[in-house]
Amino acid sequence: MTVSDDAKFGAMAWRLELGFDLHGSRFGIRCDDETLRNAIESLIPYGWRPAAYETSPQKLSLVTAAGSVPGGLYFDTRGYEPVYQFESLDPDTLKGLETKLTFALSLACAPHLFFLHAGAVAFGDHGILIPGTTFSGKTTLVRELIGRGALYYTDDCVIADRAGRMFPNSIPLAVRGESEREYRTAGSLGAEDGTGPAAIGTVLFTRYVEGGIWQPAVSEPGQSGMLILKNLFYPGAMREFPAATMEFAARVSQEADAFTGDRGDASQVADWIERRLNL
Amino acid sequence: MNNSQIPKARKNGLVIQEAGDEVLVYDLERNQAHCLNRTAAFVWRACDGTKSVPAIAEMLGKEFSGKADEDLVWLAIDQLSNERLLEAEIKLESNGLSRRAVIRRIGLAAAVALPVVAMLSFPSTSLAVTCSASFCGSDSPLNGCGAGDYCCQSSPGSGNYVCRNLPCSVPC
Repeated sequence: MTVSDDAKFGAMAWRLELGFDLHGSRFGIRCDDETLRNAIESLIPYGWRPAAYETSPQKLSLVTAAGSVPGGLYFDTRGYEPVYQFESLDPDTLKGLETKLTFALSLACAPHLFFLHAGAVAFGDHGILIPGTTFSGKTTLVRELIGRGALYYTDDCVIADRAGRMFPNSIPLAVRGESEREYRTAGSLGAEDGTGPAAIGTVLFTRYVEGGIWQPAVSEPGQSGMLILKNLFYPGAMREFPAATMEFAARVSQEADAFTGDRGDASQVADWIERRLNL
Repeated sequence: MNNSQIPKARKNGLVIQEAGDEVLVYDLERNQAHCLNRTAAFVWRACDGTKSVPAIAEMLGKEFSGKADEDLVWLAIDQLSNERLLEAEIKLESNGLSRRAVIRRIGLAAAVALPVVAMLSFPSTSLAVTCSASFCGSDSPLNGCGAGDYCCQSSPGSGNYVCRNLPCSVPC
C-alpha cells in the first residue's frame, strides 16, 4: 500500500480481510462490512483457494460506507481513483461489481494470469477459445457447443496462464430469455462445468452475421496473436508487462489452430468443430 | 537512392516476439503493437543500415524462391517507416506512383506475399479518469477506461471526456 493510500484509508475500520490464491496468483480483499464475506467469495473466479491476506502482493479495498471515502472498489497500489464506485450494494450493483472485480483481478494477476474477453469450452482436454467483444455471439456459440457435450468454461471472460492453459471461470451464462437477459448455470442447461485446466487447442475469431455462412480461414500466428492482444480484459498488461504478454499471445497463437470468419447460425460452427475433432 | 535512404531497423524501445514466420513488435514509447507478416518481417530484419533496397530485394527473392521487385521492398519500408520501426524516416521511392498504384502493380506480378504491418494501439491507462473524444459513448475495451466503462462527455459542450461505469447521460 502506498503512503497516499494510507492517508486516504488510514481512518477506515476494516472488518474483513480475505486472502486468495487464484491458480498461483495471490491477492487480498479487505472490506468495511464483515457480513459481505460470502458475497465477496461468490464473486471470485472459480478455482480460488484461501491464502494469507497479509502477504498478498496485491490488495483491493471494498468500501461500503466510510465518511470521506466514497463507496467503491479501490486498487490499493494504483492511486486514488476507484476501479468501481457505488452508493449501495444492491443486486444490480453486485453484478457490476463482479465485472469490476474481474477487471481488478486481471490487473492483480498479470502477468501470471491473463484475462481475455472470450468464451471457452473444452472437449476432453482440448480447449476451444472464442475471443470477441460484447454482442459478437460468444454466448450463443458456447451454449451450442455445451449442448453437444463440451465442458463449460466461460461465456465472457477466459482466465489463462502463461503456459496457454485456460481455467474454468464458470460464471452463469447470460442467455437471452423471452423478455430480458437471464443468467443460467451450465448445469441448468444440461451441461457440465470444466473442473481443471485445458490446453487451448483451437481459437475461433468469429462473430455472428445474419445470414452468414461459416467459411473459416486459417489465421496465421502473428495475426492471431494480435487478435488475442486486442481482446485482453486489461489492455494495460501490454504496457506493464509487454514481453510476458506478447509471449503469451504468441504461445497461444502458435500452439493452437486458429481460424477467422463470420458465422450465421451457431450450429454451423458446432458441426464443423465436431467434424474437425472427430467427435 | 542516396545514403540517407539506406534503411536501418529501429531496435531501441521495442519488445520483439517471434510468432511463427511473423513478428510481433511492441513500441514502448508509443504503446502500440505491430504485427509484421513474413515479407515485412524479412525486410525489417534485413534493414541493418548497410544494405540498399536492391540488395534487400535480391535477398527477399532468394528467401522466397522467386523474383522480388524492389517496389515490394519499398512498400515494406514505407509501412515500417510510417509505423516508426526504422531509425530514420524513409520516403517511398516509386517513380511518382502512389502507394495504391504500387500495390496494384506489385499485386499483378508478385510471387511473394505483399508486406503487411498491422498496428494495434493500447490506451495509456486502463484506469484512466479521462478518455478520448473519439470513444465518446463507447464502452469499447480500447476506450482507455476500465473494462465495461463508458467514455462520456463530462458536461454538454465541455470538451472534457471522462470514464463512467454507466452509459453516458450527456449526449456525445
